[in-house]
Amino acid sequence: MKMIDKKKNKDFELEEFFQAAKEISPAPSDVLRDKILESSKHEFKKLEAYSIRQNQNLWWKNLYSKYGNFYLITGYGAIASICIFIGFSYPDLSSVILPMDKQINEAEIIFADPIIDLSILNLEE
Amino acid sequence: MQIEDLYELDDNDLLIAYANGIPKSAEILTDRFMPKIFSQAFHRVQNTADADEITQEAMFRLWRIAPNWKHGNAKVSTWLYKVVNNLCIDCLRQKKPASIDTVPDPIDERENATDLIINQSRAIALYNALSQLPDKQREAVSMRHLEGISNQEIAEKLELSISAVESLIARGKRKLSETLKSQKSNLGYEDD
Repeated sequence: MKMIDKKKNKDFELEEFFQAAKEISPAPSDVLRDKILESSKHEFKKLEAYSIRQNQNLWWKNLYSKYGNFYLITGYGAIASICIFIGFSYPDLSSVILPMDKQINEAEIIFADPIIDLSILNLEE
Repeated sequence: MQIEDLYELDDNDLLIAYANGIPKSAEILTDRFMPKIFSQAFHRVQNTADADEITQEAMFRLWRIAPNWKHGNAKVSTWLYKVVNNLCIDCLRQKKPASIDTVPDPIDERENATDLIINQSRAIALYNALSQLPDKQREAVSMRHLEGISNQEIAEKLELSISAVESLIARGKRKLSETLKSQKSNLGYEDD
């Protein structure tokens, strides 16, 4: 019994120390709360910007999944750019190509195989 | 979702709600955690300015991790406890041990100034005695007796079993008693 009393007394003393520490402990100030909420708002704005960026990334990801990988799409883009460049650089490209076409036909006639008798083409008639 | 519904959400869901564009959830989380964090920090660093700074930094880190927070993650309270603990360790590495000058005057309407001085000297003695305990014992005793956290919650935060926590607290308190007993006469007690 004496031992129990002694133990109780010991704990009671320690409890007084804990109580004292709690009593001198200040409460967090309103200023601190305001600062924390301010930081949350600041981070929230960053978060919004981040989610916009994420959406943009999502757009690119969708594009890649539809039309192939990055290199393929870059290739398409490069080819399209070259075509547009040529289109603007040579607006009268048709006048260049048509004479070329004529020259090709002439060349075909010149280099045609002389052994083939073209008259056999008319045998069936 | 109504604002009233937010108060019903648990901490993890509130953090996810914040990340998904509901700023009000930050306010609720602040009200839930700020006093606990501040108390944990103050009892470790024994300085209001440092406790303020640690609380602010811990909450700032919480906002930053919000977009990557998932349901399967640890509890927010456990995560915060670890962050605050690390911040306190960093802070204590840079600072000297507490002296009576660093502890703020409490807002106390009691007229008896002697009680106030005794309380302060007992608190300082307790903090000094706590600092001599091994880390786990100190954390367990502080959480149980200064911050009022249940043994089960302490076990979760320290990743120990409840019986291990009880044992830590018992051993810690025994050592504290021994240390403080030697200073009894200076702390408002009469000698045996």
